[in-house]
Amino acid sequence: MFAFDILIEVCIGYVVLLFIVAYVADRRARQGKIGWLRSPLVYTLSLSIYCTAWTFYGAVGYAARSGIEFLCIYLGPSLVMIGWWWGLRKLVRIGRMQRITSIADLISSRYGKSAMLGGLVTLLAVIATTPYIALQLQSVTLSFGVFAAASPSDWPVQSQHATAIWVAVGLAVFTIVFGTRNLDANERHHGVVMAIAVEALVKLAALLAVGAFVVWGIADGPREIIQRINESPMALVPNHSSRWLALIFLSGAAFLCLPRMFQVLVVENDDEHHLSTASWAFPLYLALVNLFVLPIAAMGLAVLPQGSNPDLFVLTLPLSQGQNSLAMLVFLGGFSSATSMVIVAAIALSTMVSNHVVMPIWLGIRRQAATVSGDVREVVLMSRRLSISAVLGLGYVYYRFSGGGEALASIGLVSFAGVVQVLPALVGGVFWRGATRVGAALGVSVGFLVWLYVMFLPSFGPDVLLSARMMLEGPLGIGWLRPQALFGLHDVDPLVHALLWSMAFNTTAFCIGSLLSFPNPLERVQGAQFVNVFDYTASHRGWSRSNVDAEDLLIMAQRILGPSEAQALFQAAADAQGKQGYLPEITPDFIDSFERVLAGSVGAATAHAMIGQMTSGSALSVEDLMAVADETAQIMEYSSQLEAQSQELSRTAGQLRDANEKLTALSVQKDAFLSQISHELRTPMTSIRAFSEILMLGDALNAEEKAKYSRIIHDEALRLTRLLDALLDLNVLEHGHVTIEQERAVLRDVIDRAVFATSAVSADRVFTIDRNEVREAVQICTDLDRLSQVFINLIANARKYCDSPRPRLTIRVVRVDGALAVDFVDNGSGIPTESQSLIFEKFSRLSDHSAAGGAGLGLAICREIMAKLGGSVTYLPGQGGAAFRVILPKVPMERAA
Amino acid sequence: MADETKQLFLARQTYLRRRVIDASRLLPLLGLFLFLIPLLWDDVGSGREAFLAEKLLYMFAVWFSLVAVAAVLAFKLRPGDLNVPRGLEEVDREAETD
Repeated sequence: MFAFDILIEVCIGYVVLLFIVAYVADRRARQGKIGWLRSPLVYTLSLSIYCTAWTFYGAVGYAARSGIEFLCIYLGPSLVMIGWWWGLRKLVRIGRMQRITSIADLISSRYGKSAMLGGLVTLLAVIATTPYIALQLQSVTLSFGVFAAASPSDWPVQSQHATAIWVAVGLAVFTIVFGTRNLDANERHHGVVMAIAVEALVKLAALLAVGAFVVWGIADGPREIIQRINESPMALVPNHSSRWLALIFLSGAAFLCLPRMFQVLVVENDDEHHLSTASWAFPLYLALVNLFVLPIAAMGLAVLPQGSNPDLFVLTLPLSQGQNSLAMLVFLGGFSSATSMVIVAAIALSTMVSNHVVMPIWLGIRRQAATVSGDVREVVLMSRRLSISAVLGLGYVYYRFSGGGEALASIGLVSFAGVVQVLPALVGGVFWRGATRVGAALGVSVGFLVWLYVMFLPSFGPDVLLSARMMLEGPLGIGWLRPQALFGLHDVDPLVHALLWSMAFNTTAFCIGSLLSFPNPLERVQGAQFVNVFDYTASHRGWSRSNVDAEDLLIMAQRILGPSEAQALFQAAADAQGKQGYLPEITPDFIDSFERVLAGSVGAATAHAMIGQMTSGSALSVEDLMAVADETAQIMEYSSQLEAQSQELSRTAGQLRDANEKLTALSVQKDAFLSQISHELRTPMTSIRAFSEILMLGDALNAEEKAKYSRIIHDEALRLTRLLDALLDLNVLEHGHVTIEQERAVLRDVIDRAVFATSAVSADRVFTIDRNEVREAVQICTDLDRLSQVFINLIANARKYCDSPRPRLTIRVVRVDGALAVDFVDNGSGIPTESQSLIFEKFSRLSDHSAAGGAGLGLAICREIMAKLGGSVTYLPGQGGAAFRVILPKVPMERAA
Repeated sequence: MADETKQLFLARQTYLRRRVIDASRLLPLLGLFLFLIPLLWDDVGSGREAFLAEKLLYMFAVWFSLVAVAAVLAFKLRPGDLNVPRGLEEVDREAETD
């Protein structure tokens, strides 16, 4: 046995070594030389904080009392790791995507960044973890005590509590130095992780060394060990099926929910690929740790004197055999187990306490001022340091309060069952989009209360926190409310009983709460992001309108992240936006990513609240969503209006184009008409002027000449009058206002009148008109004057233009499609095909027959008249001469005379 | 022709990758089943000689076998497999049912 001083020296030396390891790792990380600091191996070893002093010393004790059952506590985590593809992969991805800082942060962030839920989970975690920290302090103190027992002179018994204090203080210092060195945006602690990896190796080496010593040093090899195990009282402990299942479930669930495990598993995870290595390496580690537990227990029970504490077999067995150096290694292993757990638990809890309790309260007190003045960074770090001290202080107080006996040893599973109350909210939040904040809060709080009542409070034994009477008979004597036999469920193992009821109430409350409540928009957005984390790579738009100044944000960022980090962040953002300088455009995307960076430091809920204060609450709200929806609807309506308008516009444009074409054509026509008419008017005017001038100079003219010239002037004047009459006629016809007088008459009379009226035209020529007077005896009802005007025109044309030596006009009355038609066919050369379409136009004359007195308006007038009367006049080709067909209107006419 | 060969090769790889993922999903269930088997061995009070050590050996045999299989599966899942979006996995699943 060596002096107690040496033990202290070794212990201090070991702590110094850890400080150096952590310091070097931190420095390398800051210089960017991460390298092997973050290898899958380090990640796997850091997970070993699952094996605390409770494992290191307690597993053998557990085995000595309950046989092989202790393995279940390690089978659960092994199965969870092996089944990483089911849930861990998703959890780690979510942790990285959302920059989750703790399990409380994950729950809070998932359920709409709820500060209330974060606080609740934090409270639960603190209550469940504190006894566990006390357990670690106890184990270190006990192991010191083992050495002290051998040399009582050096180790005053009353200073055992002092040991616990010193250990607690030393742990607090280490944790504060390396755990709150920086407010890292990723919340990763390279130094701490490296140190616990080293500690993981030390405790594994110690356990394997003791195991090997027991198997091959004390015993004669495996054969003897097998015999001793089967002969030991452990072999007589019966199997508890329900306990096995409960323990496997509990340990697997606790592996996910314990704040310290979540810290190393998710928060400190640097690379998702490390998970695939850890999926087999960590179960291997656990198997190796437990490999020699049963042999040590069997040998301890056999070799050590009756009544020895089986929890200390690992230490007392080598000591009893005089293996001092081995005992020293074991001591360091136990010390490592205790300290690594306490360090990580303290970091995890302090992060949770500062992010979910201190910061929300502080922000609530400071209101607006929080983000504008004061060094938030210092506040956060200080609150973490205080939290670490408080957590360790609580652990110490708990250790003193409980007296450090058997009660404390059993607290491990109680603690597990406490943190597992987060499981439904966690699993539901990650896999079920319908999970809501109300459901999670209900589930966690109901589970927590049930756990307190049926497990935590009774765990202290009768008359400590619950009276013996109450535990025996139930509150107010209500038997079915007895804490350890709730609803009459006695005859069941207390652990199974507590786990069953707490999880049943928890899950039911969670599901019912979720089903009956309606999540707010942020919850739904977060829910979708968590559940579909593998689908989303881009972030959502959590912030709508932002009226915040970039400079204000930078000031805030500097206070939380530190000046250089904040400036680098803003500069990068500005760069990405293509802007010079430090101040990027404040877009919703930028605010969103900025919030995420902040969340990495102070937690999602706090970061959300801070940004909310900065942007004066422009976070997404139902009103915003509705406004957006309204806007969208308006825009859609507006665009459909626009579409309709544009269709109408294009229609109008088409109409305008048509109108324009018509106008252009009309303009061309008008020009042509004007030039025609001026020509037509000028010709007679020229002769009138010329002859009237001659007459004015007229002394030399004889009477005959005077008469001749006067007649010419007269003729020309008549011609002009005719022309003007025709023009007026045409004008009147074309522009409406024609009164049609309906009269009854026999067609034959109308034709007679027309023939008679035209008899003076080209009277010098012999002109034969063929008629069928019988067929003409049809009564018609129309404007007779107008109709006869058309007939006169047509007959006159024939008389004038028929170039046959024996001109002949045939007038036929025919029926065309039920309508009465009159054809005027002469035996002249007719009208050439290409001209047939022109003859009805104004001023169209096929040959220069102007002498005949026509102005080329006759047929145009005929067409207009017939159109007005409701009939038509067309050229009838193929009749051997010029032929016109006048179709009379279909008005009642069938009463032949 | 070269393209077709490549395509076939890729499809086969995708198929195998899916099977590896399936296996790594099934492995913990198998493990749980195997770990619960000792509950069926009622060795206490049956008058037979206790065989706690044999039970322990069985448990560790299962445990180390699981570790070995998990290690093989983890090595078969190449880094890129972790980043496959879920949608793509679904597509894979659909594709292979053809």
